[in-house]
Amino acid sequence: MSKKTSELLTPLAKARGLGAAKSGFHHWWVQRLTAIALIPLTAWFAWQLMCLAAHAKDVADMAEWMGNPFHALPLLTLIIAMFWHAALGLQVVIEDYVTCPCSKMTLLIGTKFICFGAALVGAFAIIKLHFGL
Amino acid sequence: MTEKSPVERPLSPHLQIYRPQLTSFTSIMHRFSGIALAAGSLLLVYWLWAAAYSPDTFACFQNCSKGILWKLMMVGWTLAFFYHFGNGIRHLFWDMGKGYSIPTATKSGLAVIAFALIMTAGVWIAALTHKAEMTEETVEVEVTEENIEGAVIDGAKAVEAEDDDDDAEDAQKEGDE
Repeated sequence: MSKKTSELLTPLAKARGLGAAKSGFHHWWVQRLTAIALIPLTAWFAWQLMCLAAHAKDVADMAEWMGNPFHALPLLTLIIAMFWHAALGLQVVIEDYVTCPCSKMTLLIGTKFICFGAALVGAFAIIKLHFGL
Repeated sequence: MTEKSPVERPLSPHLQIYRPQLTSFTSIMHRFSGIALAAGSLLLVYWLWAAAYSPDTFACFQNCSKGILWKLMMVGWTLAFFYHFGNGIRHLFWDMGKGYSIPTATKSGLAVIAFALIMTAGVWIAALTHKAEMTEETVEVEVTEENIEGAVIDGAKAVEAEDDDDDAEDAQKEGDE
């Protein structure tokens, strides 16, 4: 915008469309979406995990449990929603508390990579166990 | 664009001089438990990976998970999970604009802490009593096995005895560790 128009604008109008208002909402919204999805998913999995911990002794038991699509699919959804939620949450914590720009960037990139990688490994393991490959 | 602000705005409270309150405690614990859960989720992925990778890796993981240090970590993780779960729901209510008044926020904070403690205690009491029951069962099985020794056993019983034998061996291994 030209200098003249910027002088005529109120401070609010100048701030609009700049910075976090463009992308911040998306972050906030996805954080809530994944949180809502994780309520039933984690409650279900906490229960399943207790049963598995009590009964699953070896890989065959795990494969049998995972062979059921009603186990494998919710768990796959859980893994994706969980690491997405974790990546967004850790990002906020790092942005709030790490002041050094260098370590901030390293941590931001590192946590994103780790969350993405872990989700991928988890998904791969679920698919492999489900199909018994 | 970056003119000096004409208004003297209040600073956000400095933590060092701010009296700790239930609301601030529950707030920071939400972050701590979130970080703990993020770390714990890597373990969950390792567990899945171990099961998919090889029976030996999975057996190794199962062995590690019998240690007391591991159990303590799992108790901590359970507590972090139920706390973050409960407090997350509290946050979602705030997002809908509900429960903002200080008395309500204090009450809901206390409710979340109670929920987390009760659920964690419940889960671990259930898990440990279940384990104790399992051990008792295998002891009973050992006795019956001695009783049927030397007796004429049909095919079905032979299979049963084999299974029981495995269970008893597992229980013994657990006991040794």
